[in-house]
Amino acid sequence: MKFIISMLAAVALFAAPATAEEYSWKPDKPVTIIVPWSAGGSTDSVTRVLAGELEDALGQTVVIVNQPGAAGSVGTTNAWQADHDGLTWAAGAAIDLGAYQVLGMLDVPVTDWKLYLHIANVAVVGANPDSGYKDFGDVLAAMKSDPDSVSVATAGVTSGGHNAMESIAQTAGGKYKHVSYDGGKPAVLAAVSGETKLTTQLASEQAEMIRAGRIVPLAVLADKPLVIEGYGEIPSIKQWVPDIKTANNYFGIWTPADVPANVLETMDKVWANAIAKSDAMAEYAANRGAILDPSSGDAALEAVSPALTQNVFLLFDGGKTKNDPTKYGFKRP
Amino acid sequence: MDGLISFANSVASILTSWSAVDVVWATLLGIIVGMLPGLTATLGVALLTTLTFKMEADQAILILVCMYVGAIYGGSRSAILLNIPGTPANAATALDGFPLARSGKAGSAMAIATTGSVFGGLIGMMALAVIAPVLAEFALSFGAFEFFWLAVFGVLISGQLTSLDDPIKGWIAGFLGLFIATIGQEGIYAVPRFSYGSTDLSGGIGLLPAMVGAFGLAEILTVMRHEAYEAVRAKSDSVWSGIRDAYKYKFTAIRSGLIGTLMGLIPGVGEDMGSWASYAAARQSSKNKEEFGKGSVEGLLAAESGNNAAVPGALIPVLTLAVPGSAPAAVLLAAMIIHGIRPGPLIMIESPGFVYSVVAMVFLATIAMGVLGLLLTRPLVMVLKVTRERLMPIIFVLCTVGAFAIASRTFDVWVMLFFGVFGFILRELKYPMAPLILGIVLGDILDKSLRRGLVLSDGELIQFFNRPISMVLWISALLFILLTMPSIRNLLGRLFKQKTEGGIQ
Amino acid sequence: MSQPAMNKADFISSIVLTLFGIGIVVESLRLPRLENLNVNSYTVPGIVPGFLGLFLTIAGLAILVRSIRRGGWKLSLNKDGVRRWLGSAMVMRTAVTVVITMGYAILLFPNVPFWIATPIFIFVFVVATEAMKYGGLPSRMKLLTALVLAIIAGLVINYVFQDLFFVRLPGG
Repeated sequence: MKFIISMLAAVALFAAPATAEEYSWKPDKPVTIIVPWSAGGSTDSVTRVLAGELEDALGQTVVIVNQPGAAGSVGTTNAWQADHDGLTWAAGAAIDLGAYQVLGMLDVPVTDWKLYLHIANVAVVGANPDSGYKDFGDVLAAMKSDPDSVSVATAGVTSGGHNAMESIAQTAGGKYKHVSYDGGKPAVLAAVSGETKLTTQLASEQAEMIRAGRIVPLAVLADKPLVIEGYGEIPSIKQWVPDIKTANNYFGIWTPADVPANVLETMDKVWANAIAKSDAMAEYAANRGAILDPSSGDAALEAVSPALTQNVFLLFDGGKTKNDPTKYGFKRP
Repeated sequence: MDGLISFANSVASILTSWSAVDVVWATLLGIIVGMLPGLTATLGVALLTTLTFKMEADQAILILVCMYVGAIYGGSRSAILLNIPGTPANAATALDGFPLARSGKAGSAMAIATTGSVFGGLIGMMALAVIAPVLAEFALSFGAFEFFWLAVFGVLISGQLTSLDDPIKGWIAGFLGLFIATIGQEGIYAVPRFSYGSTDLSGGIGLLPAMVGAFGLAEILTVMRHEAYEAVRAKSDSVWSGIRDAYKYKFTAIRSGLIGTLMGLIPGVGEDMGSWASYAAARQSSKNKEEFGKGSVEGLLAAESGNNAAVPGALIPVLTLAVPGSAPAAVLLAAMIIHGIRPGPLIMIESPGFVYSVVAMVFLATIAMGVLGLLLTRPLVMVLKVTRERLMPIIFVLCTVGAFAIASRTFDVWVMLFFGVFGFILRELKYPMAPLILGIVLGDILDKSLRRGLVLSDGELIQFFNRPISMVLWISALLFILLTMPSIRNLLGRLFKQKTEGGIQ
Repeated sequence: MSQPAMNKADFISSIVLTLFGIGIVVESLRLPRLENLNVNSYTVPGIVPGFLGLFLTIAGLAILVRSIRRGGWKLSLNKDGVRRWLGSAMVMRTAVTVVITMGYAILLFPNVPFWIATPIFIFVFVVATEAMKYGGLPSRMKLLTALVLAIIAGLVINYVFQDLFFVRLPGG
């Protein structure tokens, strides 16, 4: 027993961060980031990379706690209910954070949080190689002529993948068969195995399968084409559906906005100095077909608001929310 | 051949460096994590992922693999000694392990479990080394229909095996578990079910707090209820006799290892189904069926080879599809991605060396687990010498902290208490707890795959029955039920008798 | 439990189970069908719990019928029997265990610092159960070792979870 303890201590020593820069906030206890999804998911893995970078910058251990449940609202609620001292954070996708109030899950507007965003993900329409779709035009044609044959795998109604497919159907017309899975990875796998013909999950979740030729990427839901290392360029969906509104799906961490001022001041600096220049974060993004685009504070709120607004109205129009978004200051785009 | 060389190189390079020390401490820590109720392989691997963040990729992954292997094995210890499985995967271990320990053979029971785990681990490792890509395609052939039948099959066999005299009570427990899993927001439209406005309930009932309650607290109450409760100590109890016993059933261990590997491949069910399916197969083919559940060496061996073989099994889809076969494997996958390794269909082409070094890691972790496990057997038997009045409060503290530790939620402590008392009452009424827990594991899969399957087939039920793997699963589930009905067994018995008589004439 | 007692217990518990199963079916039917969302009618949230409730109802009825056939409906409760059962050492031990463990987990654990709450709980548990075992307060030696055990166990568990596994324990 003593042996393990001393070994662990040795590990901790190796892992101990280098000297911290001069920041006004020096946490005296470990900082906790609550990941409101299960361990191993996309929020979890990017947050673990981030935690390593934060440890270096803050000179304090950063502990990740997984508290999955109710679309991430359980863990996020716990982060809100903890002391507002900067020692407890929550992680996730900004569009989820913005939807909790409208969904009646957590009565805290997104503006009461201080957002620190790091990477942005985009959705890709990926097809099984035997699906018979040569380009995205074929999919659009099938959605009109034989909608039952267009089966689309996503991570569920609140997921970015379903959002993407809904906005395609609403803008371009046509119907499809929606099949939900437990997460992005299982949804992508369903398209690989041929259980469904398509998936519209995030590029990061499809990257490996695209590289291996098990999924053919037909279009990316972004204004510009997306380059995936080891595959090449995926055309923008605007080529087929010029009117479609695309919005980046940002990931990040957040803490209540009323934490002590020196916490926010320090984190703003850390974000500008360490995270924006982090090789580990940049490499993670490049490997996963994501974009490293850090922002904090008001800039962060501005960056997420298009996707956030689009999402809450999609949910409301689909009858999935308890409350009317306009009551919470959202303006219909 | 190239594979063998890179495997040997990896083993040699780990053994001749400081990494050898990592193997020892990480495996030992894993065993401890597995033994403590409430601390699980998932939690252990997640914790070490953070701690090893700054290390080189190979060293970090090595430590995580050792933690994973050690933790799945460690759960057998508390299952045997206390009838409290350390992780859900060890529920079948307790069925025969605990009766053996009660009859004074705790030492040899632990040695049997250790031998089984090593056997299983090595078989899984060979599958990983030799036919990983082929097996990955098998995992892909598991769609909505197959998952549905697997969940049904799992609850039925576990219900029957834990309640042999009265299977209907086992099935009821299993179906209660499936129902409990449907509490909270469902996974397709996020509609809250049976939560009546409570945020905590809408998050669902946590598997681990429920397990710690139903096995831990319920066992404490059972132990305290009895008049006298000191274990006997048999003279013949020794580690070596355990290993010899286990060796007698080497074919059982091999078969269980193969079943466990296959189950490990299938996402979401991993180690749990690995041990149950192996246990069922062992009983079905055993000459001493009546010993199962009363201290059968074969049963204990099968359960433990099954769950440890599932570990390398679960690593196969991680490496070749970037999809985890189990919850701890999911964290391991995340760790690989964090360290810049790109698991996926191209890994055999892009970095075949990494696959063989993972094989080497599993190999060393399995060996370390065996050696440490046998060394720990003697000191652990001492636990049985502590009187229940002094042991049980400590176990209860571990249950409470363990339930709380998973997500730092007080609600989980209440869940643990509820399942403890509820489980105690059900156990007194002869409803087994293991199918209830397996039901909670499988409930979500059953719910989503039934509904998903109905969408995919546009409501045509025939598609649930006519696919090859589905067919194997539903036919075996049906046979299982039919064979437990006395009238059918008698009928079959008569038929066979007539046939032989006919042959004589 | 003896077979006649088990039949009686089955009789009562199967009624509870059957009612519970019916309750699940009713509640599943009341779950939203989401017609306004045009969802595929095979995927309504109530479908799986509904079937599970149905199965539990049928299984509950099966056990009910069996226990009636075996005579379990003749509960023949009388005051003396109940009193004797309630006063038995077995029930006492279970009750004491439940009270002490609940007190710790519900009151002490969330509110009092772990390193204080846990030794108190362990000490009280040991003394109370040993008092029942020996039919009186345990010897001074036993009390002393119980105290030492309580303190050491509290500190070790505190160290393992708080410092090795970074679990933030509640109550301080």
